[in-house]
Amino acid sequence: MKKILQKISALILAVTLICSAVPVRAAGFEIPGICQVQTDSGAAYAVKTLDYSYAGNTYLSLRDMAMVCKDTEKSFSLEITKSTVSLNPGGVYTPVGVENIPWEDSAGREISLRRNECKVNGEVVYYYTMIMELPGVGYDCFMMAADLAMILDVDITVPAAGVLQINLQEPFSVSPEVLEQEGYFYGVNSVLAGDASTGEIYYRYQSDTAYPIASTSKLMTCLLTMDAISAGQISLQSEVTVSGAAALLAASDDGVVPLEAGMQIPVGDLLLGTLLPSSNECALCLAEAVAGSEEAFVQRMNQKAQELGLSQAVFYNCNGLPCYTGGAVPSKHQNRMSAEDMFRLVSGLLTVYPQITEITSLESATLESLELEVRNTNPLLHNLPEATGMKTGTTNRSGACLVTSLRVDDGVSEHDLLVIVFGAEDSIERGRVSELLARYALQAFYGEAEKPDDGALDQGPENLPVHAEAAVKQILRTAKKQEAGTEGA
Amino acid sequence: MRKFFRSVLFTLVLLSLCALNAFLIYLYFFGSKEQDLSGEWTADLDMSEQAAVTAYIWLQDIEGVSVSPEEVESRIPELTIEVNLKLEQTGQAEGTFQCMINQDSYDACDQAAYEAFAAAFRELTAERLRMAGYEGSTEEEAVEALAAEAFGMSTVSYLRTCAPALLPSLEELQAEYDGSGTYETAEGILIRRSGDENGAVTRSESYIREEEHLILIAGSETEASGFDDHPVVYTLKQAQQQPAAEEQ
Repeated sequence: MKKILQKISALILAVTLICSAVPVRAAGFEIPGICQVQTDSGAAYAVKTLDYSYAGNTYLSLRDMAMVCKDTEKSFSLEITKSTVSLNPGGVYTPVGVENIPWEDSAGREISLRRNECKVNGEVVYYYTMIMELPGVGYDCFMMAADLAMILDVDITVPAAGVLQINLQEPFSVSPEVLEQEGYFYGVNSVLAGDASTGEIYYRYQSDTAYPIASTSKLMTCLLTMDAISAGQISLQSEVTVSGAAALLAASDDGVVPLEAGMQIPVGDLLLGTLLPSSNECALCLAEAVAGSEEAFVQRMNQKAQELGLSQAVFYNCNGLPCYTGGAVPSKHQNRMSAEDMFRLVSGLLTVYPQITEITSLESATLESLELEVRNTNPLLHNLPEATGMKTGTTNRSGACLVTSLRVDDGVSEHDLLVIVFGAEDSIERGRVSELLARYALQAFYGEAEKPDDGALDQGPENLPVHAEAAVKQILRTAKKQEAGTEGA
Repeated sequence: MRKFFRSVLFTLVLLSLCALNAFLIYLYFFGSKEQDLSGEWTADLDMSEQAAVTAYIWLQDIEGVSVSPEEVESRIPELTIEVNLKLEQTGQAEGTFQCMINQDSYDACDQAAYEAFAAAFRELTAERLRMAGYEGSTEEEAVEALAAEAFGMSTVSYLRTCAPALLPSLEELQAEYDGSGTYETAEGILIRRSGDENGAVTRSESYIREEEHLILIAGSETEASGFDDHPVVYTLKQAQQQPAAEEQ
């Protein structure tokens, strides 16, 4: 026995020594390289790159890019620490001596792709970047060209392999049609961008095919909860008793909010828990409070889907987790829906319950009943001022999903734009595809708004709405303004 | 005695039958089949269904609230527009007529229709305000005040301006019903002619007179008017006082 224990101890010691001697690398590997960057002024620079995990998945050195943009309209200053980047457009970059020179030796440097905090003009945004320590100088940060183009609002193209063209005079623009031709959307199941207020679709890709939707299912749970509140069945203050099933879910690997059976949690806190950190247990509590049981609630979900004309939607549970059917060989099911169905669902939610964005747009909130701070999982909330949040969702089968809403105003009325991405490879791609499409949706919306006649199509004399729904919306806006005025006073 | 009574009874029955026969023969050969339609007649055109359907189609566009045709129909009061028809028989089966839509009744009907429409709209709007978490008052007066601020006019005025018309316009109704000229009746058909030689309008309708009621049913040969060919039931308001004197 003693010998066995000695051998085990020796094995543990050996493993510990090996692990400490060999630095742990992140999930991927990085390929250092150089690309030629040209500007529309004719200048050309060598910019260091890192290809993350795969060749072509290229991230550019921000210090090198800062030198490219120096003394131009798009000049920006940089401050980089171990975990944060502060990028100030319009600022003057101070070189540290490592810019635009070939790699000396990147081997052995600890680096990984992380969702690092960036400050752009003091506003916090989040992008996946790689921060690398430069001995004796500080740090450099590697960022994807498209992300930098969005931050700086410049047009970046790739005229040839290894060459990047930056058109500093041109604003950032994106064409999903071109991206589709280049196969960009092979990496996702389906996407859709459109105006929920008018029903106009700006771009769609495989949007009529049903795919697993993971936690974005909770938007339906939220809609039915709001229906129950408006019907007077429950209120935001109603206390809900946590069931044993919800407590079990909270204690599982998928648990987010520490709920225990018998606890009394108000509906308002459960909504926050469901929509911000995507708590499955909070969603289950809501389902049980609204319909008595999850089974009855799921019936309502499917019934509501029918009422809304969601032709491809099938719900098996209230939270989007995979679930198994009974039987000798159990089947694994997940809630499914097409992007078009999701567009209809969220359009209805935002039209009837616009106050829902007061929750979904919160970056964080405190569940008062539990004294627990929860954070919003929506990555675009930080990067786009128009973003009013909505819902993320991920399972192995669904991939990374994200439904994002953006509130915009064309000078006549407010609109809610929607971007739906189903089945991205990971949260990095989900965020990037969503942001590209969100910017495209903004581009399309403001482009449409500039057309003089378009806004007048649905307007009667004196610019009054001719449709009942539009008339109700106009009254709701007036009511909201009055409320804001009263609160302000 | 009994035989005598039987003979008398038989004679009386026979005489009665002969008299009845003679009367029928007279009626068949000499009596006019056309009734005298003279008098001042009035009909109420029912606009309730048309207004309710139009209102329902418009209101059902509002999302998140359910509204059924029956609910809207129950909110719309009885809406009628009065038509006055004056017939004056001048011959065996002919005479003159004058028909006119009562403008006051049209105005009252129109106002009642839009007030009911506005009330239904305000109620649905109030429901949406509550659903949207609006914490102010959603009483009818408060919603009306919000609508007035939003549209710069009352809900009734807004609906008149921007929503589909609940009733046909007065001009449309006048074009359909108003007119004066001559008429003639033949075999249950009333033919009215109005207008001058350049623009004569002929209107042919089947008619049924039942005591105080005159039912006019537009014939298929009548020019398409845009209105449903529902029977119009006129009620005798005032019978012709002295037709013979006027005829002279």
